[in-house]
Amino acid sequence: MWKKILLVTLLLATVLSFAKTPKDTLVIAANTEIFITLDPAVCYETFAAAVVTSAYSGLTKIEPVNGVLTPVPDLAEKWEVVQEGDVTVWTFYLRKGLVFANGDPLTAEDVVFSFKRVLTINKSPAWLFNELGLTKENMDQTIIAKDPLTVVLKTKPLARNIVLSIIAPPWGGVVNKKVVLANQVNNDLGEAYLTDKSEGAGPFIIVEWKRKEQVIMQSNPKYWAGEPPLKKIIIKDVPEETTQFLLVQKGDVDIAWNITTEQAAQLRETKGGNIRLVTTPEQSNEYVAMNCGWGPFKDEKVRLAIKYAIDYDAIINSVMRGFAILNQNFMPIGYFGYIELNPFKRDVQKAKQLLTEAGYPNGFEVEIITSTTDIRRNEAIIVQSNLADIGIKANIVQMPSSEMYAKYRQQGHQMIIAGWGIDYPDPDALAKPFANYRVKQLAWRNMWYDDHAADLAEKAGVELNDEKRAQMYKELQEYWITRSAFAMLYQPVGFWAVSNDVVGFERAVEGYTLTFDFTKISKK
Amino acid sequence: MKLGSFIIRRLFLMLLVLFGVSVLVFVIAKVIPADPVGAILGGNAPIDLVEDMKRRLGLDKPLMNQFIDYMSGILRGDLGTSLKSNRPVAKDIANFFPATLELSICATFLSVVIGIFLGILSAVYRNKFIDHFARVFSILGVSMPVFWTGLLLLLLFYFRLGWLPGTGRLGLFVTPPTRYTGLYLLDSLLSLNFEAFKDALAHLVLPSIVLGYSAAASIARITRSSMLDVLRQDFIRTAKAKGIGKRLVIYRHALRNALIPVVTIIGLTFGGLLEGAVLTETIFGWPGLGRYIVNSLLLLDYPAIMGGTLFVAVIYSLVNLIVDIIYAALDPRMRI
Amino acid sequence: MVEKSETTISRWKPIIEDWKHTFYLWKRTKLAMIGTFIVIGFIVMAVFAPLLAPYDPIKTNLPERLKAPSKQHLFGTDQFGRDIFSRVIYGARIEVWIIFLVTVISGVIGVAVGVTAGYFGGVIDEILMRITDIFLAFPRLILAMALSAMLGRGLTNAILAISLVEWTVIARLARAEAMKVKSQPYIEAIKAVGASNFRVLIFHVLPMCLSPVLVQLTLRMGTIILTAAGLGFLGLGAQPPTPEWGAIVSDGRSYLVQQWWISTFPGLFIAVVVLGFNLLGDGIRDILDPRLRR
Repeated sequence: MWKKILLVTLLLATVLSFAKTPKDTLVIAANTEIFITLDPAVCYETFAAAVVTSAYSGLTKIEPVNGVLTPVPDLAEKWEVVQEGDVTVWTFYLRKGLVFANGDPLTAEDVVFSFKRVLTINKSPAWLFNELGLTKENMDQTIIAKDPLTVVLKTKPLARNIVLSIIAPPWGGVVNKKVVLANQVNNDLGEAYLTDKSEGAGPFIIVEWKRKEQVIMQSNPKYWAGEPPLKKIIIKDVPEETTQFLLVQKGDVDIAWNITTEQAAQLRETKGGNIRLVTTPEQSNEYVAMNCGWGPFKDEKVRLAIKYAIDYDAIINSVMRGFAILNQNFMPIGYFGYIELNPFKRDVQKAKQLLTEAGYPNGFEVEIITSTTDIRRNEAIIVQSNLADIGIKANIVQMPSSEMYAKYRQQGHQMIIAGWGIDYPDPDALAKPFANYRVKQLAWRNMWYDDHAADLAEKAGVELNDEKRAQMYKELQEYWITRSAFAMLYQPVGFWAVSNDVVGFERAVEGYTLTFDFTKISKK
Repeated sequence: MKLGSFIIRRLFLMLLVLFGVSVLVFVIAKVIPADPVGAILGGNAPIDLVEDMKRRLGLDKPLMNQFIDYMSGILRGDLGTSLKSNRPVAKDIANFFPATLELSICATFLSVVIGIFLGILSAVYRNKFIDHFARVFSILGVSMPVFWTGLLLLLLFYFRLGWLPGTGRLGLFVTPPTRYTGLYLLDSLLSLNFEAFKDALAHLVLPSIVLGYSAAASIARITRSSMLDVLRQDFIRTAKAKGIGKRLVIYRHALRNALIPVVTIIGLTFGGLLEGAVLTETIFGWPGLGRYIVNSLLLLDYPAIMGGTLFVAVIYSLVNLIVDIIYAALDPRMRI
Repeated sequence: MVEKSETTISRWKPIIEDWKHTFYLWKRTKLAMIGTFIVIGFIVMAVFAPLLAPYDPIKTNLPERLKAPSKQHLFGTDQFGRDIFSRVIYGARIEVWIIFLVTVISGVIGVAVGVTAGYFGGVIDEILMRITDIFLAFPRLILAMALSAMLGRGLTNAILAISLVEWTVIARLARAEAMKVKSQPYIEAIKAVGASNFRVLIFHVLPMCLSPVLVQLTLRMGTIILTAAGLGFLGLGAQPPTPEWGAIVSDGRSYLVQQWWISTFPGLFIAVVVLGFNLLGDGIRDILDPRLRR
C-alpha cells in the first residue's frame, strides 16, 4: 500500500511544471483578500487603490518630483485659481480629444459626474471631499461643467496642494458617465458594476477580478499619454507570504507583493540570484497612542514616561528587521515643513523618575489594543516588555480592525498600537488628524483636546504663504512632540521581492501607499 | 411508530431547532463588538461619517425590527451583504461551498476505505499485533491537532521535498475547468480538461489526508467493535459450524451486518468533516466555506458570520436527520 | 470494639476488592498505563513549571532570537528570543487551567440542565432538550469560534465559549441517567414519604447521576485541549504573550520554513498529551465495559 502511495506522489510530482512569465506580461503574487472593491468612489485600501489609479485618470495625478510627491496635470492640462471672498474658484481646462478606454469622448460632464458620484455614494473617500468644502448638499453649486472642456470647482480657501491632491485618483478618477448610468442597479450609480471592472481613461483597463483567483489588467492603447510598455498585468491571489516568496524564487511570478520582514532581510543579505529586493519609504506611520481621558494618561508626565520607556531601536531592528525609519514626528520625512525631531531614546531611569513625579512610583495596569497582524502583535509584545521594565503591567488584546476601530472611535481604549495611512501628500493630511481634535480623528479619539495645537493646525492649513506656513508647522511639531498623546514608533519602509527581468520597479513604487505607477515598469 | 410519521416528526423538530439556531446566530452577530460601518469606511474616517452611514444601513433601528428584517431575508434566501466582499453572502456561500464539498467527499472516501479496512483487520485478528497497531493508529488520529499535522505535511511534502503542490485548489497557471458543479475533479472530467484534473487531484492529496485521518480513526474503531459484536452472534457460529470458510464468513455474513452502524457513522463523519474543514482549509489556503467562516470571524464581518454559520448548521442538521432516518429504517427500535 | 471493626472491614471489603480488580485490569491494559503516565507527567509539568523551565517564558531577549535547538535552548527560541522549551513547560499550566475550568463549568451547566430535564420530564424536558439541540446543531469548533468572537478575545472568554459548547454532551447523558434513576422504586418510596421534588432531586437523583458524568468528563478532556488549541491557533483564544500551545504553533507559522522548531514542539506536546488523555479514556471505557472485562 505504501509503495502505491509513493508511486502516486512521484507521478504527481512530475505534473508540476515550471514556466517563465511572458515578456509583455507582469505577473504579481499578492494577497488580494483585502480588496473590497475596485470602484474609484469607494476604494480605500492601498494596494487596491494602486490598481484603481492605473485604470482611472483624474484632473491631476500625484507624481514624485525630485523626491517630493506633487500633484501634476493629468487630464487637465492647466488650471486657474481665483479667490472670491471666502470661496476659492478653480477652473480646470481639459486636454483636447480625450477618450475613455472604450473610445467614448471624455468631457467635463464626466468629471462632474464622477466627483458628484463620490459625494452621493458617501463612503470612505467622501469625507476628504467634504474637507474641501464640497458636500452632497452644495455639489450642484460647487462642481460645475462650464463647457465640455472646462470644469469649475468652488472650494474652501485651502493650501493649493491639498485641493490638487485630493481630486487626484483613486477617488478623483473619472468614470464614463454614459456606460456607468447604463449599468446601474437600483440607482446605485454603478457601484456594483464598477466593483470588478473599470470604465476609465487610465493607462490600463481592469478586465476582470475573480475573487480569490486573480485580477487581470490590459494596457489601454487609447491612453492620452501613450500606451504603456506592459501589455498585461496579472495579479494572482496568493494569501501566504511564504508561498509568494517561493513562487518568485522559482520564477513563476515576477513580483511577490507581500513578503515577511524576515524574508526581506534574507533577500537583502543575498548577493546575486535572479531576484532582488526593492524598498521605498511608505507614506504612513506607526504609533502608540494613549487615551488622555483615561486614568494615568491624563498626566502629560506619564505619557512622556512611556515615550522614554519604549525601545524604538528594538522595534525597528527586531520586528521590522530594519525596514523602518526612525521618525518620531507625525510627518513623514521630506514633507513640506518637516523638521527632524527624534528626542526619545529608551531611558528606563528617566521614565521611572517621570512616573514617580507623576505619582505612580509602582506603575499601574493598562490594556493595549491592537489589530491581529503579526507585526502589530510583535510590536505589542515589545512595548509590553518595555513597560514592564518601568513597573507598568500591560495586557495585550488583539482584535480585528473592525472591532479595534469601533472601540477607538468611541474613545473606549486605554492604549493602542496602530498606524495611519496618509490620504494626500501635504502636511495638512497629518497635522489635522494628529493635532486638531476638532476634526474628530486621532487627536480626538485619544481625547487630546489641546486648543493651541488645534489652532496651529487649522491656521497652517489655510495659509497660502509658504514661508509662514512652514514656520507654523515648525512651531506645531515642536509643541506637539512632548505633549501629544502619541509615541511615533517609525515610518515604515515598503518592500517587494522582484524578478531581475523586471525593469523600473524602483521608480514605480516611489511614493507607495499614496501612489503607484505601473506605466514605469517594463520587462527585459 | 411508522417510519413516515417518524420522518415528519423529525422534520418538524428540525425546523423548530433551526429557528432557534437563527435566533442564536442573530444574537451572536449583534453582540459581536464590531463596528460594521467602520469596517466599510476604514480606519481614517471621522465619526460623523460613520454615524451617517449607520443610519443609512438601518443599523440604528430597534433590535426587534432588525431581527424581523433578518428573518424575512432568510426566508427569501437573502442572507445580507458581506461587509468585506461587498457581495451577497448567499452568492459567496454558493461560490465557496463546492470546494468544501469536494474536499469532504475525498476525505470521507479516504477515511472510509482506510477505516473499514483497519477495523475489519483488527476485529478479525483481535488482540494480535495488527489490532494493537490499528488501535494506536486510531487513537493517534483523534489526538493530533489537524492544524499541526497540516503544517508539518506542508513543510515536508511541499517546502522541503517539493513532491506535492502547496496551498489552494489549483496551480496558479492552470486554467480552472468550466463550472458545472463547482467540483473541480468532476468539472475537469466533464470538460475534458485533464491537466486541471491532475492538478486538482494533486492539490487534494494533503488536505484530504489531514482531514480524513481523524475520521478514519473513528470509523476503524466503530467497525471493529461492531464487527466483534456480529462475530459473537449465533448465526456466524452456525455458519462456521456448517464448515463455511473463515474468509467467506467474514465477508459474506459478518461484514454485511456489521456495516449497518458503520453506514450511520459515515454520515456523522461527513458532518464532522465540516468542522475539521475549518482548520484544514485555513492551513491549506483552501477557498472553501470553512475558511470563509474563519475569515469572516477574524474580521468580524457579521453578515457573513450569520450566513455562513447558519448554512453550516442547516447542512449539519440535514446530514444528521438523514443519518437518523437511515438508522430508523434499518432498526425500528430507534424510532423514538 | 472488635465487632465494630469487623463490620467496617466487611463493609469496605467489596469496594476494596472492586478497586483491586480495576487496578488489575488497568495494569493489564498497557495502553491505559502509558496514558496514565503521560497525564501524570503533564500534571507534574504544570505544577513544577517554575522548577523545570530554565528561562522566563515571557520575557523577551532579542539578541537570542530565532536560535535553533541547542544545549542552551533545547527547543530553540522564537522571534523574541524566548526559550520555546520554557514556554511549552509553562503552557502546560494554561492547558491544565483550561481543562479544569471547562470541565467544571460545562459539568455544572450540563448536570443542572440534564438532571432537571430528565427528572421533571414533560414540557420542561422538551424545552431544555430543544435548547440543547440548538447548540448541537452546529459543528462544535464553529460554534466555539463564533461564541469566542462574540465574547471578545482572551483566555477566559475562550474557556467560557468552549464550556458553552461542551455542556450539551453532559446534559444529554445526565438526562438519560436521571430518567433511569427516577423510575427506580425507592425514589417513589421517598416521594411517598413526603419529600419535596427539590429534595429528591438534589439528594437522591443527582448523586446517582454523577459517576457516569464524571467518567464522561474525563473522556472529553483530550477534546477540550484540541478545541482550545484550535481557538488559540486561530488567534481567538489566549492573547500574547500567554504561552498557550495552540497560540505558539500559530506564532511560528510564518517562520515555518526556516525556523521549523517554533511550531513543531508545542504541536508535538498537544498531540502527546491529548494522546495520553485518549489512551486513558480508552482504558477507562474498557475497564467499565463489563463485556470487555476480559
